[in-house]
Amino acid sequence: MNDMTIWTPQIDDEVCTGCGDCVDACPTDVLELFTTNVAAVADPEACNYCGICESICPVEAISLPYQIVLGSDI
Amino acid sequence: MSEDSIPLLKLLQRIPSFFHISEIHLKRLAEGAICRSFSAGQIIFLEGEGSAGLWGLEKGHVKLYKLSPEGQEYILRFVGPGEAFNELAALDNAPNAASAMAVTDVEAWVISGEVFNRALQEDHELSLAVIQGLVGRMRALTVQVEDLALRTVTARLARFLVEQIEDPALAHPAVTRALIANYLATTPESISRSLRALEIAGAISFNRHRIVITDLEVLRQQAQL
Repeated sequence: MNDMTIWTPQIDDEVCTGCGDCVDACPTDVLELFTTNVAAVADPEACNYCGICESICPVEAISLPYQIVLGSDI
Repeated sequence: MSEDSIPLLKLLQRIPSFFHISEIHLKRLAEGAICRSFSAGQIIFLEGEGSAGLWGLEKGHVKLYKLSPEGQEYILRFVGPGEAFNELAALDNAPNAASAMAVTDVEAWVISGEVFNRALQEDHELSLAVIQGLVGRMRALTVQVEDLALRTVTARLARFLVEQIEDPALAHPAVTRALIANYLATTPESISRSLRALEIAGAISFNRHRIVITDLEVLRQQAQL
């Protein structure tokens, strides 16, 4: 993850098997299966960070990055 | 002293245990050092390989970790800008005790074990500073062992969150459940449950991609600090 992390689900292309479980489960249609047969974030702005994709992935290819902040700083 | 090693001198002067070391000794240490860049995810050195020398982190974040034979990762420590790492292998010239990977894009300086040991022999203040640094690491490892043996996942997670807030050098640009789990020697599912427990306790809340510390005092109580 670089310093310009995009706050969307991070999908490890080398681990993803293209099963499509995350695509089916996403309530806001953020994810799609690409022609390369791996899941990818197609609509990042629609992501509400519910975490369903992360928990449903059978091979742990998806992770949601978080920023830890103090309440008084935001 | 070459112009190239001036940034390293400034970096060494930022390392807390080196604060009182005279510039001339730090300059000696900086001579012969090499600046290296790594991309996020790139391995800097591997456990078991020949000593990779002493490293000082200029920019970015590094994780020091060990792997089980089954490939399970355990993160020993996160390193932030201005911190040194791999002191053990630099001192005894034995294989690296852990692996190091760039978590973000990284710029770091490496000083060979030979240069490091020569500088230590010539300067007892530097030796003392290194010993103090190692004592600090040993204290931190003792706390880590205590955490693993005696504290619940929720307490360990609370302590991790407190450390992230209170030590800017260690503050990660981004953490995942898996990364926290590897640091606390547990599973991402346990981290999810503990995050929920801390949320119910009123210590944290979620704001999309942010884990917001809403009550630091409650979080410290949960961490048993």
